[in-house]
Amino acid sequence: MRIFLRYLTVATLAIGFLGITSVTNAAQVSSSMTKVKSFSAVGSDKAVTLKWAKSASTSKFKITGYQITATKGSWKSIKKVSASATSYKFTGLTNNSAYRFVISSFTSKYISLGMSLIATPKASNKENALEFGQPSDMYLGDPDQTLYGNALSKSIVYTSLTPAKCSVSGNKVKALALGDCVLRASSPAGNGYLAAVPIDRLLSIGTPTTPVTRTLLWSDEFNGAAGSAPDASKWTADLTDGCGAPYNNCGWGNTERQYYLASKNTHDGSSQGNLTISATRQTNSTNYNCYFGKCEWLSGKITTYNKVGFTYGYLEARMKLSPGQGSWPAFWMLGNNIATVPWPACGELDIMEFKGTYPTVTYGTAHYANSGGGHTYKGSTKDVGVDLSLDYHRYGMMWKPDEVSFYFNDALVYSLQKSETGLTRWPFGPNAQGVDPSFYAIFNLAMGGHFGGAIDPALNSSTLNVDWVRYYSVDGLGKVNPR
Amino acid sequence: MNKTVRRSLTGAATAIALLSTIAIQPAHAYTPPVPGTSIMRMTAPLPGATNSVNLTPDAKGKWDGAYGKGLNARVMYMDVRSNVVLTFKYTNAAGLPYTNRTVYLIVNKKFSCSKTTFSTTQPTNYSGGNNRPSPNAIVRDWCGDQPQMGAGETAIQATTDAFGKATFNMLNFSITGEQFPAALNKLNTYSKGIPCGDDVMCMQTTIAPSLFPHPTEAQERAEDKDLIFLAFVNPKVTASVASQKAKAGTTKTVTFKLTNLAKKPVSGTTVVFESFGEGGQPQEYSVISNAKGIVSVRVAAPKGTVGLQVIRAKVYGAQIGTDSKIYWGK
Repeated sequence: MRIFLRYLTVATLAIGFLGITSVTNAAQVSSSMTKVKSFSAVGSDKAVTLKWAKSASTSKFKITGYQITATKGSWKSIKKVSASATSYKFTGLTNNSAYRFVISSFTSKYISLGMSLIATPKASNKENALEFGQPSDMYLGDPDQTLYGNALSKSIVYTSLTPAKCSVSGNKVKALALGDCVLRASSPAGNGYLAAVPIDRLLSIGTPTTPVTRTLLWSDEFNGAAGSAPDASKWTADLTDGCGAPYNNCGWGNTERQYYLASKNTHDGSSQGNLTISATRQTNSTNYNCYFGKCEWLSGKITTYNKVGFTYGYLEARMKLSPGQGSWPAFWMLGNNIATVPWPACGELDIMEFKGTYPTVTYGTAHYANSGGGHTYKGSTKDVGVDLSLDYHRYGMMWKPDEVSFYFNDALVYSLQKSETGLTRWPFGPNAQGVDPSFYAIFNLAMGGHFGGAIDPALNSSTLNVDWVRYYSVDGLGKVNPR
Repeated sequence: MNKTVRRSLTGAATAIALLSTIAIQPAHAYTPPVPGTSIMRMTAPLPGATNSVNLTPDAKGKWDGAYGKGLNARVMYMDVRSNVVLTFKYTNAAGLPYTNRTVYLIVNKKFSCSKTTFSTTQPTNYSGGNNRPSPNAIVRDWCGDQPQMGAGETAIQATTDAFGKATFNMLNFSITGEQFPAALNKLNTYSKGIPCGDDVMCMQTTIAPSLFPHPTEAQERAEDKDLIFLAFVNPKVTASVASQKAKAGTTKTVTFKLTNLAKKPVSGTTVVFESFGEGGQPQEYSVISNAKGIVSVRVAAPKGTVGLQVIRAKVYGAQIGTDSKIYWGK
């Protein structure tokens, strides 16, 4: 016998068929309507998420929605959602209090018997982790500096512990007075995470030195249309795995695992405008053969070789580095005379190298030939304390005839003076005839190899993003060479 | 000897003399410190209440006499085999930075008994004779009556920038470290204090900045400085399941995760397994953690087994393990 009942909200069982105790709306309760199935609940911080299986309409009962009721003591909240919904999240609940939830489907006229369960919202005990990159020292009058941090909870608050020396607004710090500025990054509890242990950083504020005049001489903002290739007047793509002419350098000299294609270097067409160099893992069915067998990875590399050369000055790029163990992106330079003065005598300047295994570390290195002609290098690393694959940062090099200095967001990574090499002449300064060197710029994304190391078997792709590259003369030092 | 005293050794001969049970130098009378003419503080990482243990009170009236009056002594934890990057700021007593000046960071300070070993690409100054294999190597300090006593001290050299700061890099080569600490601002329960000499539970270095590669007592008393005890710790090992039930006659996989002080996964670390109680031996003696810091071991129990089996995972060389329990039954 068909029985029409008024809809009710309170049941004696945690899950199951409801008894009849009260009426909540004017729709008639129909026991002929199928009850909502697979009703479940998950408690989280001040919230409970309910899920259920979509109820099928019949010729007699065309489901138009679901009614969900939450009760705790005398408190009650009733929500109605559409027929297509299969979940609903109650928020603003009190942690550690049990709530009863009842769900019914309804038509324009009837409402089904309810299914109920009890769930308790609870603050998660997930451990939070916080990173806070070391800010650079500042001079009075410097532009406000952006602070970089990362938290599992995605929530970071920066404060100044020395308000007389510096102030913080959002993620910007302003230098106010000479001395030491101490900043604190905190990540409060929330989003299901516990509060993280705060991290303090100190930056010194000094008096300005002699102003430096930078003049922009060349740049690429990578503002091309989505999918388009880099500007051919500036860039050439290096191709293959390095085997064969003109490279004759299988594995690019480092047993690297990638095969370069021009198509892996493209503009992303975003409002910011980026060059993306993407590496993708290949299967055994790939058509590309590498020096070790079927190619494992396809990737990209572009250079300004034979198009644009640079002599001294300041070269900088803004990049978001490619994540994943085995990833090896680089922003670097080689001597334009490499065809006649083979590496390492031609010189190599690695403005940025990165290992996905150590995602908070950038490397700056100069390679050259020692007095006996053998390869030697000097360089250093900077652990900036934040994952460099999560955000854009600036990587630059100040190049003088007798000194090269690598920078990360204006902070020194490594500086090398010619006198430290013991060389009478080095490839980064004038040669015996007094002719200044010219170097070309390179962006690439290698995978594995001597530097990149073992590649994470679970890694299937990785992308290097370059917002821009800019070249300046500094106080008149620096020039662009047409080739 | 109480814990406070045992943790207080600094490497200075004056300090050593105060520790009667391990004294290796003639006793000196305590001389109250006076304000130094130079100040040198660690600025990155910045020692504070949440990331270090303050030992300065231990020094008062005791071994602080070996340094300037502004001595700060702190313990900080580092991941074993990690690249350690430390920045110090060097100023005069008025706080004006020493710029473009050659300065030093003394590592494995003389008589500290520090067991840690490092390599560095920066210039070093070493006066310990032929007790190191190369100019890049920083060897352990020796103590007691060993002939190399005090020959571990190595000074890393750097040049200060416009802000008086110099940065020092060194890669830790210790095979194993101390037990992971309960908190960054709590002394490690498992190590026996600082210095801990040949104690297997201890892996620390005593470091200090200076304007001199191997300062004399008088030079060191003129320096207000941060004296830092870096304790190198093994990864934290966490069982994915603390306890579980299993049917005898089946094979269970027990998983552990390794994380570092920054709570990031640690890959490439060897973990060895031990078994206690019922059930068969683990089917892997040791496993190297993968990119996600995970190690797994399989365990089987013959049919009819009833009872508790404890699977203990230890980072290679560590004394303390993490347990995961299996209750075998029908």
